[in-house]
Amino acid sequence: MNERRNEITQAELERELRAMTEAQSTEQADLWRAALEQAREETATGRTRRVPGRRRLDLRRNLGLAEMLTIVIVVVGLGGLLMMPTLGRARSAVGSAASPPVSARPSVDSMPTLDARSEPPLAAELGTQLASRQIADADAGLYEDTLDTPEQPDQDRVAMNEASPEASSFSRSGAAAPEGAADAQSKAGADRSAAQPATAERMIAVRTEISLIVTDAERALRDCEEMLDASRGEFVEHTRLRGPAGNRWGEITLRVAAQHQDDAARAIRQLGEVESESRTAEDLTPAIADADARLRSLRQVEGELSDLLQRRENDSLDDIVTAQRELGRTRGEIESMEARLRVQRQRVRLATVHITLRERFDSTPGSLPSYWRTVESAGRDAMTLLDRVLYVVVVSAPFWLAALVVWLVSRLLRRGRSVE
Amino acid sequence: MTGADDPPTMGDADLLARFIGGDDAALGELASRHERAMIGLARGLLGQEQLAREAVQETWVRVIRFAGTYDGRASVKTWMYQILTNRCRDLGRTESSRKRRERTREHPVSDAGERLPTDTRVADAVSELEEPGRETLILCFHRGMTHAQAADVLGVPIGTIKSRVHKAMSRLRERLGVTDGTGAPA
Repeated sequence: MNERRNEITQAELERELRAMTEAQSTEQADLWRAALEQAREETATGRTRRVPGRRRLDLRRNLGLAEMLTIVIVVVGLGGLLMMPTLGRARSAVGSAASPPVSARPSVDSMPTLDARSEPPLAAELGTQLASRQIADADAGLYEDTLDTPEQPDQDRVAMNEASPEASSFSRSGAAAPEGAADAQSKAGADRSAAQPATAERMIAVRTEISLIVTDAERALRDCEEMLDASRGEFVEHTRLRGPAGNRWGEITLRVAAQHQDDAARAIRQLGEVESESRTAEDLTPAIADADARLRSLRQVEGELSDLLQRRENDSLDDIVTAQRELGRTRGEIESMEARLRVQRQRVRLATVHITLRERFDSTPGSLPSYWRTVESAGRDAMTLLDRVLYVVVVSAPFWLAALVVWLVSRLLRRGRSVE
Repeated sequence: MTGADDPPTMGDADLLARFIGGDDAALGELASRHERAMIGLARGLLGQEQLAREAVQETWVRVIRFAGTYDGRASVKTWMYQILTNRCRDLGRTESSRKRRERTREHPVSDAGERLPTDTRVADAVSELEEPGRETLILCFHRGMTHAQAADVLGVPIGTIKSRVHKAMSRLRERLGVTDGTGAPA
């Protein structure tokens, strides 16, 4: 009977819950009057009474789930940004382990010409200007070589400079530049003359493509690289190796001296079974001849302008400045044209040999890649994808973090306004 | 019966506007409508009449101070209840006040000062609930408060309110052994 009395029904529970907040007194407490006085007192004294209990920020109560999540995301995002260098190193490690494609690097075809570089400022004296230009020419030569041979060690680059008449000539002119303006000018003219090609002969850029079936793609790639002779300026332009062991494929692009390309192709054929082979030739003679003629014309203009400036030393300052500006523009065009010519000549001098390698696939059951090897390969691909997604998230972090912070602040402000 | 000459009943927003315009009596009218209910809610949230009155007075101070910033997006009642629940949180937050509340928990009394036939077990069980379930439950069972209004006051979606109430009620039923009236568990 007692147990029955102690039981609480659903209806009783709800009634009790309602009763908990029922107004108990019928009299008005008139707290608003006291509040009015308090507010006026605070306004008069300029001091606010401390609110009891407001001593610490209770995030769980003051913030909703969305704000908490935002804070977590912001913290994680900032952490990611701080870890960017670590991620970068990890990416580099992954990339080098998987023998990354060099195709992302600037190729010879996409190499920037001097058009894209800032025009050198005109010096007050033409002699000084010419000397500066000699140094710029030498720099341009080195710059071009650096782009061409991204994987070459320094000694290879030096060897290539020696092998390249243009590069070597510019190196010499760079060393001679400080000797004096007149010397520099005369040497520059001589160097340029030496760099002129005999446009009568055909300038052909050759590209050979060979597809091979090999037993070991990695070893074949190594063999291809070892065929190159750095002293002739030859280098690897692009290399790539993919797939699980036993079913790998790779590709490599070599730049070999044009006169040795047949030897190189012969050696490459020895590495495996030739699946296909093709050769294309592009005649660059008209383009080079055209650029050469334009270059000669520009040099003539440059010489005339230079003479004009030397003769008219007593002319008005405006005239001299105008002539100097024109001289600078002409020299900019000359540099651009020279760079373009260097690229085209290098395409002729170094033939392109692109080799595709595929490992021989043995169809006997025992030689099939094992299940775990496939799983490993799939896992590696998944990690690469995850790595890229993470990279995108981290790189774009400043934008979405800023958006989140703005949203959070606006939400908190809005809530604060409505609450107050 | 309302005569043609009777002034139309002013809304809470109108009263607030009149108060902003310098009419203190309008605030008195607003208080006459809501103050008792606010004290009741505060007492439910804080468990003490004195603390509840303190919270309501603090609420009025803020209503007076920030009346000019009221933007009308929520009703005046919701706005005032938001302030009140925040004051109650502040007051109930410190350990000392919480301990005091647990030690001297008051139970509703009638006008004559007698204990109402309220089962103290319910109040004790409610006080043992976790936040924010406790606060949400009390707010939702406050007279005239709908789930939508409670959601506005607490600034959370209505679905959150419903799930919090459901969870809190389940805990209460479990702790109190609530039956459906026939002796079977509800």
